[in-house]
Amino acid sequence: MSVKKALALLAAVVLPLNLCGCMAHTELDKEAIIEAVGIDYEEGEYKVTAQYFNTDSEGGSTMVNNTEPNVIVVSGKGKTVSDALEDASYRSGKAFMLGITGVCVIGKEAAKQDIKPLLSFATSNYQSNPKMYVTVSEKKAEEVINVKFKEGSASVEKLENILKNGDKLGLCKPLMLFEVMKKLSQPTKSLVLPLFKVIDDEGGFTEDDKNVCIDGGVLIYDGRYADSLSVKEMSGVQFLSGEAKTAQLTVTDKNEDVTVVLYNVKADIEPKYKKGRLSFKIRLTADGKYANSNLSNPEEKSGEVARLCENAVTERVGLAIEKTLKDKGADAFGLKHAITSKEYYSWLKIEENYGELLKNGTYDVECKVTVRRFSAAHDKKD
Amino acid sequence: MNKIGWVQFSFVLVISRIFSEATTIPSSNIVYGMQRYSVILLSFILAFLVYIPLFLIAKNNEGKCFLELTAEKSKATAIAFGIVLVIFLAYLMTETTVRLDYYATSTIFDAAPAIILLLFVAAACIYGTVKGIEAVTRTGIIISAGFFLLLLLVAVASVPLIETDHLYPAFLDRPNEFLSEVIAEFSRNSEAVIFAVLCRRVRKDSEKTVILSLSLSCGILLLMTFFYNTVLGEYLNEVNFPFYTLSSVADISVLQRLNGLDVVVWFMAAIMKLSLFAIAIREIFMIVFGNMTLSLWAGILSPVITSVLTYFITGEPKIFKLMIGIRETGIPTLLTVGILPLAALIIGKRRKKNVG
Repeated sequence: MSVKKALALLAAVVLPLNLCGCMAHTELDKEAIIEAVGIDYEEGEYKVTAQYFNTDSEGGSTMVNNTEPNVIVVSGKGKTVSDALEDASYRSGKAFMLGITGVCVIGKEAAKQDIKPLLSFATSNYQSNPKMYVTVSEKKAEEVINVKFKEGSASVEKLENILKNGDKLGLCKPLMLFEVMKKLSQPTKSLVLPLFKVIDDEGGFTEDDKNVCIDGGVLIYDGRYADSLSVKEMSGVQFLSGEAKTAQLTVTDKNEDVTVVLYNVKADIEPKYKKGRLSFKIRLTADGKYANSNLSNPEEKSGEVARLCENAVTERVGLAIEKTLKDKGADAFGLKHAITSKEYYSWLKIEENYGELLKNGTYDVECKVTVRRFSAAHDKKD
Repeated sequence: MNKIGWVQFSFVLVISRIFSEATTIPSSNIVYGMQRYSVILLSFILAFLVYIPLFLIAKNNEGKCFLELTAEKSKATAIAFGIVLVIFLAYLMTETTVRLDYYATSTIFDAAPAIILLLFVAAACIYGTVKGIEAVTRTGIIISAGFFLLLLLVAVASVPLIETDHLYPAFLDRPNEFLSEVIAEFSRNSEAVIFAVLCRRVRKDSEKTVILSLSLSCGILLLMTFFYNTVLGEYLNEVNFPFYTLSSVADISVLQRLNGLDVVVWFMAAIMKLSLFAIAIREIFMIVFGNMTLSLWAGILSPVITSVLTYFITGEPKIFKLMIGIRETGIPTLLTVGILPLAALIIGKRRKKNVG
């Protein structure tokens, strides 16, 4: 290769590096990497509370290390959520980056507005994280965002872990932004979001003696807050939607408490539309194993424990059906897809009157639990 | 004369076709539902039927395109055909540049000044046009590799997100819109006009390009539709760039989001597609006027003119929608890759008879 060619090649590689100066860009220290967003609605305005990672490792009040809380919280107000975010960005003096935002908490009052346009601050921003979890808080979202956890390199990790644990225990199904949008695009615009509650911290997990827990869920119907769900009802929603892969139940057999972990949880839904009425045959199956038992003879009593688990699951599902389908006609479980995949031509007849048909529908729930594994370390009574 | 292989050419055409799908706007153009499968299948059957004259010309006249055959028989007709082709190619270049501009500024270059973006694209296209088809198709093969890697990663990463209950046994769920959807889908095969002009640059067996590119594009679109339906569900109806959204939700191991790769692939694909359009314009001038300098300038000026047009159109979404509306009637595609080659075949046969 001649010197001339080599120089031309070098220029072709090096010179384009200067092109980045032609584009508007933000230096990292001028960027707020938003980890969690809280949205409240107060006096006709949205209030956004954003938690972001403190990138000022020198000269800042907190150092970037694993033992100190490394987050800064800032808030802003506006007529729309985007407006409020802009205001918060102005106050913080940083450009907001939503690319790795882990959690979006919607305050109860804000959830009473239509949440689809509310979430458009993220959905219409192609750089935002479509996998951020969306939840609702019992009171104000600001309270949840302000809790500063000591664990983890980022406070939001704790919130994400609470949601993931809730999923594992069958207490809630954390929904990501794109899953929320999917459900909001369905006929009854219904879904169930986990409900965060701020409680007193007794374990020293946080800086300010406040902690966060999941306290059931919130039913969104027609895109807005419709009702709250207890932990049992929320768990029922989980089973019915087939989204609970594992769950934990504690049942009592003749004054003896047994904790059973359910796994391989499956829901088979058979819809039928006949004479203007919708009916569903719901068959739930799960395998179980003892997590902890005080039973004198757990192997022999497995059949009885399985029956107790079946009753507990059926009760939870029944409560969920009552609260969502019977009360509101809200399909928060994706029953529509069970109908379209099995009775497509019936769907064409019921599409327009779907909500009313759900209210008047019949729901036959059957549950079959098989206790297959026995914990090696179960506590036997002497 | 630079020559390329038919497999190479097929992959370049496939990427050009998928680009139209990945950057589809407005959002309503790709709708959730099983009907999309039948729409895609039927549109490709229709495309194959329309391309029969092109196929026959490529098979029986190696190293020649239909315009060249027409020019041999009638110069005036060739000029008329050339004008139609250049107008359609310029239109397609403008549409592609507008798509790229919308796509790039909506996704990662949200703060980029339109003029810089367009200047960069035009400069890259001019370079591609000057270097010729061989260099552009070689680049196309690298882009194809990038696309297939992206498709593989997105497919693997989407598996846990698949919800098969979003599939239902009805392939005609919006009967009133079925025909218009088929025609619109057919009209997106506009890259066929590249083949119609540039098939003369294929070393041998250029007719095989039609079969490979159509079947591969159809298969990939069906696969993409499967992921759209099962991962995005009804949300698909509200998404502007479905493949970008899919690559945003797909994470695999350390790659938490694949949308960066998506942008790289489609940005490069757009430049490649635009360069091919410009080379086709250059080729038309060469065939009709036989003047090397004139044809080179036509190829160089076409990205400049379309970039200027794009600059004005991006601020006028109504005009862009109108442009898409005209193309989606299917008439321009049918005319340039179906009727004109058929006319060229007929003219050729008649002249033969007259000579006989």
